[in-house]
Amino acid sequence: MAGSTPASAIADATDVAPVGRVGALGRAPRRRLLRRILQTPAGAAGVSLTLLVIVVGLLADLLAPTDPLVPAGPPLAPPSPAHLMGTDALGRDLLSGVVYGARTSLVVVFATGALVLLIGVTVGTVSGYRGGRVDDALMRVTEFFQVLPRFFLAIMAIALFGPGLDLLVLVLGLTSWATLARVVRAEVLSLSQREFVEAARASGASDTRIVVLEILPNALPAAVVYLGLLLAQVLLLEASLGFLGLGDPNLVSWGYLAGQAQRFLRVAWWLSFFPGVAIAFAVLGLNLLGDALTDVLGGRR
Amino acid sequence: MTPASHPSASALPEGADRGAEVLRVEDLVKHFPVAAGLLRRRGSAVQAVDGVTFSLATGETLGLVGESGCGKSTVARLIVRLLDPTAGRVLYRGRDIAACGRRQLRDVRRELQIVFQDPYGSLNPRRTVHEIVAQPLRVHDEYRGGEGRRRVDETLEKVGLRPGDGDRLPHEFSGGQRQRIGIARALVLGPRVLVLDEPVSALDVSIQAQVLNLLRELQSELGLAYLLIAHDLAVVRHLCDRVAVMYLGRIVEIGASRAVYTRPLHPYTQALLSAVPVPDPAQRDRPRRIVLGGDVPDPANPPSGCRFRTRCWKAAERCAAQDPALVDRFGHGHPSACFFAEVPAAPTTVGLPP
Amino acid sequence: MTDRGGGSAPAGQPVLRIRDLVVEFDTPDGVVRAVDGVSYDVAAGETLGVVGESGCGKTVTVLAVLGLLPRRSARVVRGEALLGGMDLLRLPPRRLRAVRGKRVAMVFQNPMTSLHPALTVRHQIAEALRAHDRGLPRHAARRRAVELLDAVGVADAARRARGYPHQWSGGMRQRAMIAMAIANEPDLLIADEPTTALDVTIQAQVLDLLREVRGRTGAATILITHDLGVIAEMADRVVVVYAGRVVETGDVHTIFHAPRHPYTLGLLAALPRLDTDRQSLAAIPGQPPDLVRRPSGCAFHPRCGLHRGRNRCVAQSPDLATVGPGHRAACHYADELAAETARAAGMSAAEPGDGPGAPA
Repeated sequence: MAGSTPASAIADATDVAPVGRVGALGRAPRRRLLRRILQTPAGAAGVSLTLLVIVVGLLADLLAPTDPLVPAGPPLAPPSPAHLMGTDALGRDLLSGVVYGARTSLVVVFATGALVLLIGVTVGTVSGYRGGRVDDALMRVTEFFQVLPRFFLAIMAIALFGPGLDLLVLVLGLTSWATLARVVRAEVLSLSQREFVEAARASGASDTRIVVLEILPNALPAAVVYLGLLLAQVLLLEASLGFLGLGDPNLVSWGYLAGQAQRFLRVAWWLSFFPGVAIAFAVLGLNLLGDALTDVLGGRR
Repeated sequence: MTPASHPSASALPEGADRGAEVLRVEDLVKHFPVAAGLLRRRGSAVQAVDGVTFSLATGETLGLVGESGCGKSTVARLIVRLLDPTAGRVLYRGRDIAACGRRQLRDVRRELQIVFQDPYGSLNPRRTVHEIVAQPLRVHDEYRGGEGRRRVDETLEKVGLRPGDGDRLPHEFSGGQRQRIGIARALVLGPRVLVLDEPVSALDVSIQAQVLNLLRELQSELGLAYLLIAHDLAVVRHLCDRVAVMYLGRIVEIGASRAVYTRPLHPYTQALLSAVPVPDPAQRDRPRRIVLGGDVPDPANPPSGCRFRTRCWKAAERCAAQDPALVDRFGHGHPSACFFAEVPAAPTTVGLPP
Repeated sequence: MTDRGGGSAPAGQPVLRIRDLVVEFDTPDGVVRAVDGVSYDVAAGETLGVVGESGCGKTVTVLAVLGLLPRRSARVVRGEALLGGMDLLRLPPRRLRAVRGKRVAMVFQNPMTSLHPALTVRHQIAEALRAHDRGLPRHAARRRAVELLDAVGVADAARRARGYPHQWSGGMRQRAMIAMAIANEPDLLIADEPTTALDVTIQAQVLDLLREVRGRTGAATILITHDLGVIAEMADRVVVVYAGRVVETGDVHTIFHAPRHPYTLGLLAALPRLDTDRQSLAAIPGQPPDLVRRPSGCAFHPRCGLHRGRNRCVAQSPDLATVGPGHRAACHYADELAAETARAAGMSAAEPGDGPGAPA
């Protein structure tokens, strides 16, 4: 201040302790992120429901009382201590079915998610970063995929090639990446004009380095938010296909269970109730999680 | 003093002393094509920079001032080759940057760095300060374990930050500190020339002074040459040995700071200086205030002849027909681009002893 | 001039009187007291300059007065804002709307975001007129809008007024904003950084216009800016704000030539000037305060050269005390500043006699 030399003024400037952190995230942003999601009731519900499905799916072998495809008791037995969710017409334990169904859903959702992420992020990044004709061409392709009727295509594919989880994932993945690619492209486009990207360029960094280290880490939050909502749709699609009997016959899925329950709607309510609840909770969980991520990540900029 | 001397001398060999030319810009031109819309004819272009020539000597600061749209930031980006020029040359120690290959460009970039305006937009929010400052070292394969870490810490200290600050993220710092991080990133490779693109215009007055003082200290300590791009004339005066005034893509006047500020020759410079509010209420009714009418013309369709003539009170027919050259009209080493340039009878700016 | 009954005060009488205003914001990091007991008056025909750095609360104060704070995160904790006897802070939203744009008008920093992009400029000014005068026929409002644009120096107003904001330059848009602001002949004009987004030559035009408007309408003006040059050119009286509090207030000449708060002095000394050659600036050390963790006592003490480790600055928040005629400062050691001022002036100015501390 007054009377001091400029050099000491600069030294002083940094000696003054805690500096402005107004309205920003704290020191460990990732931990804070989870805490902020958990702070809202919706976010907490989303996280716990999603986690529940994941844990059940992963530990299905331990959690399920019996093999879901093998009869384990009297047919159409209502929920009881022996069979917590009752049994179906063949005497198979429904609880085991629901638990293994979680695993099927998990596999479909994660595999589709990975495929969508791979294609969507690649196309979006190349399109947004390269621009020009490459961008034009890729966006036309993207638009084509965006208008494909997903459900109809899935049914067609299964009709042609027979049911199977791998085929299902492939069809869902190939028809779902378009919107994600557009989200990523928009992010990359705006990020590549930011000054920190210019700074990297001015220091001589290669395009790969700029994309991987500077742009993608900032573009991914938007992609993740969108992915959460997309996966809820995928889960629902998978259940719908199972319901129509177009799922993999060797695997138990919630949709398949619900479909099987149709005929016993009046005599065995539990058969449609528990798989229905499982589907509803899982979809709800992913949606809530997506919304919470939108609030938390969206509020950052 | 040397800094005021006009370094038009030829480029000197490597490691030359203060005063030797290190950067030279020749007839630089950048036109941005205007996207053809429904109502616009095709083929027009925004003439952002249109024939700019200047040189910068070791240890010197040259200020490039002008209002928005005059092309000063485009010049900055052309020099560090974030943009490719439409025509003209950017010579760093005799080597044309615009014609450099990838490899050569990397070598030049080690010595020619840029500091950006926006302390928020110029730092990647997801990387720690250490990573941000280390980035140029990694790009140039000079970040090797402990050695690299030490260099980053040293640079952080040089700009007035603590090495411990390296583990934190940009948003934990205030604007002034973030600008110090940006300066550290530009310094870490040990450059000779820094292009400073509006380095303090986003900062508050009290912080702005800190950063300006830091830049001056670094310059005398490291012998850096600065090209300072700014719209704030007071900031430019404080940092610069020489000043070039730009209007609509061209330099209209260039000379030693003191000469340009006390005896501006070009009517635009005179108007610009007289329009700056003086932070002294006793001078609010000072005479010789020139308020220009109208706005800066569209750079896609600039006026014929002298580009300033549409707002100039001295404009005559000749100004529309002919383009005034930037030449030293009075033999003071202080070129101006106006047919009617004249040395003001008394100093134009206030408060200075004649 | 206009005659609107009880509203317009004679020159010299306060038009707006802000008393002990406290505004808090909820942020993810906690409650931030952005305005902490601000009081000031502005009289008819007077320009009050409010100066301070970003985040000091200078804008939040007037937004609170006009009821324009975001309702979700901000709240007025206490205080009053009297406009001709009525407290704006306690007015129902309906009646406040009637005050805004009619008796109090605002000009914002960014004219592009303040104008509707899809409506012609003429339409927007005409609607501003009709909003407060339902009886005004549409064609008359349009004619008046063109007259107003003409009055604020828009050349060829009749033709240009039919254009849209994006067809106007920044300076022209700010003229349009001023035209809209004075459309209803307000008693009070609040200009928040009206020239910050503009180039200097355009700034000079707009400042001239504001001066002219003040002369013509006799409205009280609150001019909020971080630019001490603009304050020196325009203001009659000055309020200096730091960390949500008024730290000094007084006549413009007094504030610039004999400041009695170390922050004001520091701001003046830190300013690069057009009229002196290159030299070091006397920077204020440290960073602007984090309002979530506001320093105890005087919020300026961590950066203050006058503090010198004295406990009183840390323990006790100084009140705004009278230090001269119409001059008040919030510093425990304001007395010591006279000597300090002389010293700083000696250090900061290369040429004698033009330092900020030169005697008035």
